[in-house]
Amino acid sequence: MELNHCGGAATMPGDVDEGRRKFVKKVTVATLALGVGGVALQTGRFLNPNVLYEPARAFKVGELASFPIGSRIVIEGRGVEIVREREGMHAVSLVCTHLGCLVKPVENNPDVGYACPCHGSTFALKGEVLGGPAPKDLPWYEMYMDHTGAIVVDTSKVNRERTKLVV
Amino acid sequence: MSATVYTIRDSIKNLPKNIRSSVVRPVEGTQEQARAAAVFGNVFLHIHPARVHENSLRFSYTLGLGLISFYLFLILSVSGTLLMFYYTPSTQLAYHNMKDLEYVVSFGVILRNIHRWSAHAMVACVFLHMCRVFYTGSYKAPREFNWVVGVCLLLMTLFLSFTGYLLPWDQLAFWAITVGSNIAAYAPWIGEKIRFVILGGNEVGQMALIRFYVLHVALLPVVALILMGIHFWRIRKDGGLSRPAAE
Amino acid sequence: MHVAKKEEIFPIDPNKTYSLMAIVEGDSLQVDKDPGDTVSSWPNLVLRELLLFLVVGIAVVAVSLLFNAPLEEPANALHSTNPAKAPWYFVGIQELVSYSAFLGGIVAPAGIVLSLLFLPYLDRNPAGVGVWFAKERRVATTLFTVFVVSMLVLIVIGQFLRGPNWTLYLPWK
Repeated sequence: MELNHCGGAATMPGDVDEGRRKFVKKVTVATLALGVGGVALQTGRFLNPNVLYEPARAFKVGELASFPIGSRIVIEGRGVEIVREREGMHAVSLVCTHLGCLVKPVENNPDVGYACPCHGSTFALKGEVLGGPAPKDLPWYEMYMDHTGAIVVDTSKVNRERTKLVV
Repeated sequence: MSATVYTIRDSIKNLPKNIRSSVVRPVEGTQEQARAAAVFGNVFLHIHPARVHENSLRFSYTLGLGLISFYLFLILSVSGTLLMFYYTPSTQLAYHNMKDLEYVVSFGVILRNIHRWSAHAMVACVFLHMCRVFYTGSYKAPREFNWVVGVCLLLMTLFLSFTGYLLPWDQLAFWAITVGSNIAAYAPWIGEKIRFVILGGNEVGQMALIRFYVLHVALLPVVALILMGIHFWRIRKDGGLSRPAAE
Repeated sequence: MHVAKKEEIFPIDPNKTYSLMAIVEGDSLQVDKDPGDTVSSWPNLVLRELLLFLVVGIAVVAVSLLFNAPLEEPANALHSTNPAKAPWYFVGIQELVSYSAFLGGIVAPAGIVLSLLFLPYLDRNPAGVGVWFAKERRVATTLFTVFVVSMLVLIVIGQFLRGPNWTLYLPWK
């Protein structure tokens, strides 16, 4: 790029410094891209909520005594069912892994544990997919007993090993 | 040479005539010129050319589907604006507002019916309009870009209808949106994130309702309106409606 | 010099009611052609448009007087409706989703939208413009008809033939 002296005889009014023009153009386009990209990114961050006014993911479901051996108790509004068997207890999600409908526990059928009313997925008692469009098994959630003796389910932590809470 | 005298008396006497001629510009000339002036002298009509090809008037060619879609959009804008006076985007109140519209608000139920049925009709008409344009080969050069704008308008229509679906906050709305947003979550890599941002949370709740409301009454209609402006402008820039090549 | 030349071509005339908007190269549809097949928009086009608005308005009001928009019980996150259906225009997609969520819910809609967007750039054959079901475009017409009919069939199955638990049933039974 060549420096032009103001009013110098070397440059005529019609002359164009191509190098300078290209540079200015590049800077302008880069600034514009940076601005638009930045605004898009920050708008995305703005729209991502930081505080959720939803029920806490970890919640007490009750005393151990309210879950007798052999019982299956649905926790209303939380989308989990507490199953207690002789070996221990577990909390299984009732939210269908297909499209998020609430599956219904099936009583008196040793093969089918849960059926989804929306698209007909069926799950075994332990949550494995038996049929229908559901792509994944119903997850089990972590559960523990807190210091007051209440059973707590934490739906933010999936129990991948499917270990039962022994009590 | 005598100067014209402007008296208040004459002004009052000629008031209607003067107001009229200031609003509608008088055209002196042939009937043809007057007819042309009627179109380009009017802000609502100036989107039309002064003269159109006879083929564009054939109802059996266009079936009027594009225009019907636009009219339905107008009807939806007006009825939707009126409904907004009685609607609160809150999970506590939205359903009660629906019941109020049905039983308490004058003409509330018919207004809601108009809005709902026009919305369904608009989705159908926009789709049929696309079929018409396809079957008459009207997307071919030089009208390729207008077809692309039209596809975007079809998507806008679907988004508008889908966001409006949640607003009554009844069982139909809640589970349709639950199912719909979970379909979006199947998108690879970003699906879960998209669902979270659309709903403003992990489940369909107050945040989802307000987000759908803002999209439905502000953002999407403005985008649709801009796209419509481009769509109509391009019709003329691309040489009017398609027609068979002249022999 | 430059300015003077411009004034020569476009003299400033107070009686002029038009102005130069742009100079274009090549011929437009109206250049060197007589207005033979054209008619004035007012009243031929505008009156037809107003008439259509009247028809649309009457139809919408008539339907709205006869049929009430559906309204079910208040939203309840504790009980899924059985079956839960998307709006009718998405029921076809939902029907596909009930076979495979990823293929039906993501791949198929994305494929449809992308092929629609790129259609005019893929089909460059200029034959058959301006005629319904032109003979020259039999392949394109057939393909599109298959697409439309399959969409309609999926919507009809999803909307009318799917009962509780998304099982097939016949509505007259």
